[in-house]
Formats: sequence, structure tokens, C-alpha cells
Amino acid sequence: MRASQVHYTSCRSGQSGSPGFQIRAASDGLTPEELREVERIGAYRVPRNLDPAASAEVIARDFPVIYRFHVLSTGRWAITRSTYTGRDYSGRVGNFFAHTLVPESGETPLWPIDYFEWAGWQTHLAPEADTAEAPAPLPKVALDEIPPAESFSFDELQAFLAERAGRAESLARMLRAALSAKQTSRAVVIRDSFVNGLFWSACLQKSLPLCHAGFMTFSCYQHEGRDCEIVNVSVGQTAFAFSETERRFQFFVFDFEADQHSDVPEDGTEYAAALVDWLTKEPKKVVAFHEYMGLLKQRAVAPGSAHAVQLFRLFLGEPLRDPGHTLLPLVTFWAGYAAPDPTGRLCRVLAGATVAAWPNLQAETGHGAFALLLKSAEGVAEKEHRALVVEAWIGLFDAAVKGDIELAGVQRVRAAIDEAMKHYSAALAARFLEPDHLRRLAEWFPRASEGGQLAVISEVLNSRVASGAGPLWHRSEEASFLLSAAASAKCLQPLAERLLAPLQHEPSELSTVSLTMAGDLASRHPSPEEAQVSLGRALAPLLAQAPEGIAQLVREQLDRAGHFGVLRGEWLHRLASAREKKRVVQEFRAGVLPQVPRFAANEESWILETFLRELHPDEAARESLELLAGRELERLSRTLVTYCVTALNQSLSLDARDADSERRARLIVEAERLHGIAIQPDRAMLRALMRGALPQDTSALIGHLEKIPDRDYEAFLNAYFLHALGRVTDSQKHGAILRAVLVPRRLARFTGAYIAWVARASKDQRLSPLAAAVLYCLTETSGAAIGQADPQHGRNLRESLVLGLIQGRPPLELLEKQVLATNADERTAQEWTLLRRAITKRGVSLLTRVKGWVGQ
Amino acid sequence: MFGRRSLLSGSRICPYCFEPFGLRSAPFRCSSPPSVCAPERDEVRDRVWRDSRPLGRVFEPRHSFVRSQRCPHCRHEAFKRLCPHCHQDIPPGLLDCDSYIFAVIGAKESGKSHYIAVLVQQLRNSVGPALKMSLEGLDEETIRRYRETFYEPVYKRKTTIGATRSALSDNAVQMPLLYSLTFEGKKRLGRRRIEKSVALIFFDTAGEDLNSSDVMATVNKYIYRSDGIILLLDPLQLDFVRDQMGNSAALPMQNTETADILTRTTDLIRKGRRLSMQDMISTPLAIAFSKFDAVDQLVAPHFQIAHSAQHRGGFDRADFDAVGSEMESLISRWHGEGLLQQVRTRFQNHAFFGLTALGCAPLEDNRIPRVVPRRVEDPFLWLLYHHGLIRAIS
Repeated sequence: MRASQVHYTSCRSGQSGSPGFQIRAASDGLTPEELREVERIGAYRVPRNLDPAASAEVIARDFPVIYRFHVLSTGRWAITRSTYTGRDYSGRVGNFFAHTLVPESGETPLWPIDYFEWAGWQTHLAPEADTAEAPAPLPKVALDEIPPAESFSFDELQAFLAERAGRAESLARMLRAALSAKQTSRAVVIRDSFVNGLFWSACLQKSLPLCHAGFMTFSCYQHEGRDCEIVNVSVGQTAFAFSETERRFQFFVFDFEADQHSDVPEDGTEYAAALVDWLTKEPKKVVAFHEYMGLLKQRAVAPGSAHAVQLFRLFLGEPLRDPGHTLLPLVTFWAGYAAPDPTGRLCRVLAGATVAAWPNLQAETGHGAFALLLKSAEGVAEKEHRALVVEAWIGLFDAAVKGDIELAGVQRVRAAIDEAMKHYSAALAARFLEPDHLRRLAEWFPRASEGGQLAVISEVLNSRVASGAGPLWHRSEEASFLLSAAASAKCLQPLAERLLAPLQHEPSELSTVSLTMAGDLASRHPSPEEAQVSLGRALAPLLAQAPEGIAQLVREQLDRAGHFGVLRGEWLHRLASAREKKRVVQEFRAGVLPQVPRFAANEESWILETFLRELHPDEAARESLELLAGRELERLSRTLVTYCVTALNQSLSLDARDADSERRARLIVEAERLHGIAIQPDRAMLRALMRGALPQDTSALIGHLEKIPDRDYEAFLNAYFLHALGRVTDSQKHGAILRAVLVPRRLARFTGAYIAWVARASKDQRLSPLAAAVLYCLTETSGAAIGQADPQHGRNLRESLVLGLIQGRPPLELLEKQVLATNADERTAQEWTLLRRAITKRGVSLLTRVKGWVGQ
Repeated sequence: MFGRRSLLSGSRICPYCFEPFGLRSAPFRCSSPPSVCAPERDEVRDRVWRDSRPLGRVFEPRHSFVRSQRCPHCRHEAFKRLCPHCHQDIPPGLLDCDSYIFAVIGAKESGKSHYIAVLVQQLRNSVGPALKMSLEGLDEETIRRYRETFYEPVYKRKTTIGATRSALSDNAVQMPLLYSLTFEGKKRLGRRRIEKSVALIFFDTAGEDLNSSDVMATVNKYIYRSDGIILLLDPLQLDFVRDQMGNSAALPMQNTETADILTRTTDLIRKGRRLSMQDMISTPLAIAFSKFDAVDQLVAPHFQIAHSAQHRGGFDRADFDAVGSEMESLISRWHGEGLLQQVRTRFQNHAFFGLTALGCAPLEDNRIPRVVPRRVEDPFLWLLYHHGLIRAIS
């Protein structure tokens, strides 16, 4: 890299053609405008406290040198070293010699301050060279050959800062001031010795990376406030007043002579604090920071960017503080300035940070960060960047499978990846399907949630499609992974559906896959039966769509292998998805079961039962009737028959006049007999009792009457009392019948039925059963036996008897005779007397009342 | 009178950028303390003068005749007016009274800076009192700059003034020296009063900046705006004089031909004022031979020019005529007919002078043994007289 040179001084002969101040000589390659600007930046004004006519020794000792870095209006850098020389060729004082370098490429390979010690700086025009002859053009300088100034190495700057307490703090404030100089229009003015001024300038400039050096222009000796650089050093007495106005409003003054400094805004605090900290403690970090900046589109980054520092810290391996707030801005920053980097170092760091912070991030933040990572990866079009983003996503996916983070966000990211990296999906898929990754997934799979397991299967299958792989089961790693996954799946059906869905287009594999999976599930799944059913459910749609031959083959193989669970699953799926249940069962029985004889033999009853269970009770009863009537009872299972009987029984009416019910009751009774089935309530049995067709075994009633509806209970009692109580003349048996049929919670209906029977028996003058009833009431502790659970019930029974007798108006004398004839003890006689009196009294009273009502 | 800035006309020439402006368009700058009204960057000033430091806020006048106006931010009354083109502060003196721009030009080493240094001092201490007029700096910058750049080297350190830098490299050189010249008079009853006050604007120029028409057009625009030009010539630059001097004096290096500078000046004025080649320039031109003490030996001792002038009570017209005749004869004798003809042809109003600012040659170490000026005021007084600012006395 080369630089043009310009010499400016007052001389006899130069480029103007006349003696005086002028460009003495220059290299090619500079425009007239640039030359004019170069003239300006090297102009030297003597400090007011120094005598312009001072001797050469004094000048060399006391006069500051202008070492200035300026960015020309064309954007090229200019480094000027201007030295006061005293007298010119004419003997007049005020002359100076300004030597300027302007790099051809616009910028220098070193920080401008690093050229300060260049041996090629010319400080004066030798008198013997100052002739009337026009000087030759200056050669260009090879900047690459110039070593950096040793005085301003980072170690030297560290030593400078350590030399006096407070310098580091001052530098931090200066840096903040310099960073805000353009915004505030307040240049930094440092009043210190010339040497210190050089070091301050060096510290400030090297606080920024070389790419930002153009921001930190400086003048190591500046005489006045006009035409200032960002950093200016005032040496000796200059036109700067260092007044309060200058200090507070016009410049950022750092007056080390008067120890008075400007207040500095807080902008850039983080950057300044970090850089100064590194500069004072670990200069190598500053070097590393500058190298790291090479990983960004450096020019676009704002000088002093806090994000640049934060990202660098992350780059160094420091943990990200408060990632919920800092991560997204950081990724945004990088996405905006990401430069192509074959190693993708920053991308790796940020992707890693995103994955690590994901559990603590809000969904939008995490997704936003990933979207930016993607954008930048696509923007820089680096393969490695893309791979890192994919790697990061896989990391997230794995974490979601393990249950560390939510799956939904991860899947959203996946969608974004698909959108952004359309042309990269094959590579992504290949990465996902790498055996190592599948092995890891297999480890976590059993513990994953149902959603996680489904996501894994979907991702594997999608990845296979994206990778352009052949038929699923041709790749043993994936096949074994999927089988293994299926064997430990928590919710197998959807998983199996996804697994088998690709086979829709590969029916030839259906048999193998189904058989393999069924076998695997049978041997490895914790709930093999259930798992096989799930598999069958998933398989059903495929079998329905597959050519009949293939479906048959699949079923036959499953049947032969005894994987009935799968076939059950298929049936359940067909049953659940059919609107006409009866039709589907007919089809299944007629079309499928013949293909699977072993299954049919074992499971036909279960199929019918599941079918019946799907129906409305009335419909189920009808179907049950058909089954029972079809005389298939022998080859159907007891379970199914029980179900049929139960279904039929439920629909059985207790109305004795219902002839159809009577036919069904007979079927029930036959089935019960054939299969030894006992059901409760056995409505067929109740019907038989009601019509007196069965022996009056009261024990057979236990438990049945509780389960029938109130209406049926009442109907039963009315019919049953006629047959049962009407035949009993023994008070003990009378009581046993009452106890057998009494359902305490239905006492009112019981009482009503009993009154009705007493009244009916009274009218019919069936004195023996009535006497048994009276004796039961009189002798059994006033009916307490029947109401042992509640004495009130006993009293109710007696009352019921009285009311029945009043209503039926039996011949009381004959009844008394019958009662006393049966039991003639004194106590019975006394009780009867009381009972009769009560009947008479209440009967008269009632009669009188009735007559009165009639009379009215 | 050409070039005179009249209050009646309402138009002004900015002494910094030389652009004309009307008072109605001159913005105000808030002069409240910065703590009351925060300064801000003045974009115009930054662009024109590369001065980006925050200054008092700028705001436009409400109407033409306003003399002061409240700052819209702090509500304090502001009086400071600015050139609308370059935003330099215009001192009130320039707005309140007529102003005259005087340019001091000449080749490198012709003694322009020394001439200004001594002229100002002479006007203050000697000529001013004699003519009952007072010269005062109009702004702080003028006072400071005169003191630092002109007065201290010559009168305090007794050393020559350093070479003036080109305005291209140092725009501070481009800044004018602004003075007010106040004339004392008497009322009818004898009481003293200020008869008149005018603003004077002086420009010092680096000789290098007169070496090229382009540079002159860039940084010396004031020349064609000026109300009077004092062209200094070093007689030791004339070949005939150099020959005549032989080894009796240390001759300076020959610089730009004076004729060339005059040509460029003529062109600049012609173009600036849009004059045709047939038009003569009305700007009064005073051609003054500086360092005249160095050629005393070539001047007859009885010549009036060899002696100091006595301007008491007014401009000594007789002396002026005599000196003019003497100078023209000397120039003619020194083979300067071409210069004479060039001036006569181009300039309607011109006069020749001979003067010395220091009165002696500086020593080798640039020390000035003594400051004994002679006739430095002559060209200036002629210009004042030409503009009717002072009377002639016989």
C-alpha cells in the first residue's frame, strides 16, 4: 500500500512558481482540492508564549509538533507532521514545514498514530535544497514497510495509563466525550504536555479498531477552536480560553494544567469502560477485540457500539447477562453487520447463546433471535453459517424433546428455517438424520412427552423426504430408530399414523412394516396389547385404501403371527369411523374375518360386543335380540351373550300384557340358563314372578328390585302381592315376602301396593291371607319386624293394614274368628280389639265424612 | 460615492464573506449566557468557516426594522446580528454607520503587515489626535489580533512580523480588522460633539495569495468590494533600483512582478464589478512604495517625500500633490513607466506615495532597532479625503 507525499513550506521555488508559502513538492495522485485541504491542515501557529524568532535549539526543544490525522473531504485519510522551522529563505520568521501522507487506497494499514515515529518524516527544507530550481515530484511511500511506532504499542499505552493515578478514568471520560463529539459538535480538547498529548491521542485512537480510526481524527497540537479534529491537544498558550463556556458548552475540555474537566455525557459508557479496562489490565484483549471486529462489516458498525463490546464478551466465552433483554438486540446487531466468515465464529457463539438462553426467553424473543440468525446466515451466504443455524435448531429441538423447553416455539423456528433456507433443506435433513443424532434422540425418546415423541417422528419422516432418501425401511438406522421409538411411544396411534403415512404410496412394504412393528410392540412395548391396537388403528385407513390383495396379505400375516391387537385396532378404527355401524360389522364379518380365521375364532364375539356397545341401547337391544334369536349363542362368547342379555333385559317391559316382551324374556331366560348368566335386575325373572310362573322363593328377589325404575317396582308389587301374599296363610311367610320386596327408599310405593292388596283381599273376603297379614302386624311387634331399620316403617305397615281393611271392608267378625282361631292368646286378642276399634272408629268417621261430602 | 455602504440603502457587505445582505435578512444570535440558553451547532458557520463548536442559537428577524428581538427559546433580548450567508457576527458598528473597506495588497515581503501595524498605531497616537479623529477596534477579535499579530512583535518584542500565511491554509488570515473612526466636531456654541463615525475594514493579505487569479478570486474577494486599495511596492524589487543600490543594501529576493499583481487586481475588480474592458475602475488606488528608507540615497534630499508630512487639521493637499509629482518622476526615472501607464489607463483615481513603516531595515536576527515611521498615513488620509471624510487644508 502506497501513499502520496506533500511538502508544504515557505520556499524559493515550489509548485506556485513564486517564492513564499506553497506546496514545495508532492507525489502524483492528489486532486487540487485535496492538495488545498492538505495545505490547510498543516498550517502552524506558534503558541503565544513562544517567540517565533526563537533559535533552532529552542524550537527543537520547546515548540510542539503538529501531528495531525485528518479525513479529507474526499474520504481519504491524511496524516500530517508539521514542524515549526523559524526563518524561511528570506530570513522572515513564521515558517514551518508540513509533511503529509495521503494513502492511495484512502486508508492506512496501521493506526495513523503509529506513523509518528516513521523515519521518513521531513522536518525542514535544507537551505542548500531551497534553490530557485523547481523540485522533482516526491516518490510515493510504501506504507506496508513502515513499522508501527513502538512508543504507542498497547503495552506502552498501558504503562502510560498506569503512570499516574486517575489516567484510566480520564481516558474513559475522554473516550465517551470523543464518541459523542460528532453528535454534540463538541470536540475534545486536552491541555497537557506535548508528549502526554500524543499518548492521549494514541490511547483514544487505539481504543477504536483500525476500521474506525477514521472516526477518531486528532491533532496533537491545535491552536484554536476552528477547524478542530475530534481530539485536539492544546500545548502552551493557544487561542483556547479554557473558559467555563468552552468547558461546559463548546468543547469537552480535559485541562490537566488547571485540573478542570468538562462533564461528559453517559453515552458510550459501556464501550469506554470496557476498552479502558482492557487497555489498563489486559491490552491483549484490546488486540483481540480489534481482530474480532474483523468478523463484522466494520464500517457499518457505529464506533463505540456497546453491542460490539457485548458481543465480544460473548465471543470470549463470558456468560450473557440478562439474556431476556440482551440477546435479541445482540443478534439484531450481528445480523445487521455480519460479514462472511468461513468459520462462522460469531454465528456459532450467538447460536449457542440463543439455545442456552432459550428456556429463559419469551417466545417472541427467541423466535426473533433465530429469525435474525437465519437472515444473516442467508445474507452472508456462508455454508458454515447455515450449518451453525441448523445445528442450533437441532440443539433446541433436542432440548424440547428432553422436555427442557416448549416444543411449539421450536417448531415455529423450524418453519422459519424452511422458509428461509429452501435450498438448504436437504443438508439440514441430512444433518438431522445423522446416526449420532438419532441415537441421542432414541435415548431421550421414551421420556419425551407425547408431543415431543410425535415431533421427533414427524421430523425424522420430514427429514427423510427433504433429504431425498429412498423408501423408509431401506435405511436401517432410521428404520430401527423409528421402530424403537414406536416401541416406547406414549401415544402410539398418531405416531403410528405418521410412521405409516408414507407407506400409503408404498403398499408393497405395508405388510413387512406392519408385521415388524406389531412384533416389536408385542415384545418391547410396556403395554403391548394397547400398542398393537393403536398400530391397528393407524393401519386401518391404509388397509382400506390398499389393493385388496395387499390388505388381505397384511391381515393374514398378522393373523398368522397372532398379532390380534393390530386387527382389533383396525376393527375399532373402522367401527369408529363408520356412520352405519351395522353395515360395517356385516362387511367386516363377511369380508375380513374370513381372511383371519384365528382372529375370527377368538375375537368375533368381541367384535360384536364392541359393535353393540357403539349402538343406542334400544338399537343394541334389537341387535342382541337378533343375535339371541339367531341361535348363535353356542358359538358366541359368554361375555357377548351376557352383554346381549343385559341389553335385551334392559329393554324388557314388566307389563304382563306385552307379548313381545314375553318372547324376549324367554330368550333371556334361555340364554341365562345356557351360559349360566346371572343378571340384575333380571327382568325376565321378575316377569315370571309377577305372573306367578315361578316358585315363591323370596331369596331370588334380593338385589333385583333396587335396580328397576319406580314405575316398574310399583307394577311388580301390584302383580306380585296378588300371587305371593294371596297364597300365604302363614304370618311368618307373609312377613318374609314383605321383607323381600321392600325397598326402603320406595316405602310410599310399597305402602300403596300393600294397601291396595289388603283392600282387594278384603273385598274378595280372602280371610286366611288377611288373617296372616293381621297376625303379622299384631304379633311381629306391631310390624316392627318389617321396619327394623326404621320403627316408623312398622307403624306405616300397621296403618297400611288398617287403611286397606277400611277400604276393603271385610267382615270383621269373620276375620276376628279367623285371626283368633289361628292364634288365640290373650295378647293377640287384646291387640286385635284395639285394631278393630281403630278400624271401626276411623271407618265410621271416614264413612260419615264421605256421606257428608256426598250429601253436600 | 462608489463602494460606500450607506445606512439609507439598507444593504451591507459582509466583511467576512463579502456577500451583500440586507438588514432585514440578517438573523440574530442569542447572546444569553450558555447556561440560560444552550448553545448549538451553527451549520452555516460550520460549513463556511469549519467552526463546529456550539454557539448561541440563531433565529430570523420578525420584520425589517427590528433592532433587537427576543430569543424564542430563552426569551432574552438578542442584539447580535449575523451575516445571513456565513453567520459571522456583524459588529453593531458596521450596522450603525457607513463602512469603508480598505485593502492593503502587495507582493510578498512588500511590508503589508508591518504597514498595517504601524498605520494603526500612527492613527491612534499621532495622526488621529492631529485630525481630531479616534480609531478603535470594533470587536474583540480585531483588538486581540492586532495586539498579538501586529503590535506585540513590532512595538513590544521589537522584531519583524512573521510571514503571513496564505488564507488558503489559515482562514484566520481572511478575517478583517474592523475599526471605527470617529471624528470630533464642535457645536455652534463651542461644545464638542461627535461629528461623524465610520467603520473601517482593513485586510491584510499574504503575498502568496496574489500570485494566482484563482486564489485571489477565492480568498481576496474583498478587493473588488473595497472602497480603496493601498498597493504596496517594495522599490528594491525594481531592477533599476537594485542595480543602483549595488552592494550598499541587502537586497531581498525578487518576488512576483508588481505589474502582475496589478493586472490580477484589475481583472478581479473588473470581473467582480462586471466592468467591460473599456470601463475604468473608480476604486481609488494608492500605489505606495514601502521601505522607502532603503532608497533614500536614490532620492534627492530636497524632495518632500524624504520628509515627514504635517497633516494638521486636515489632508495636506499641497503636500499630496508635491509628493505625487515626485513619486511619478522617481518611478519614471527608475524605469517604471510601464507601471505608471498601467495605473493611469485602468484606474480613474490613483495616487503615488512613498513611505516607510519601520524607518529602518531590520537587523539580521529580525530585530527592529527602532520604529520611525514616515508618511505611512499618507495613502490612508488620501483615501479618507477621497471619500470626503476629512477636509483638505492648503
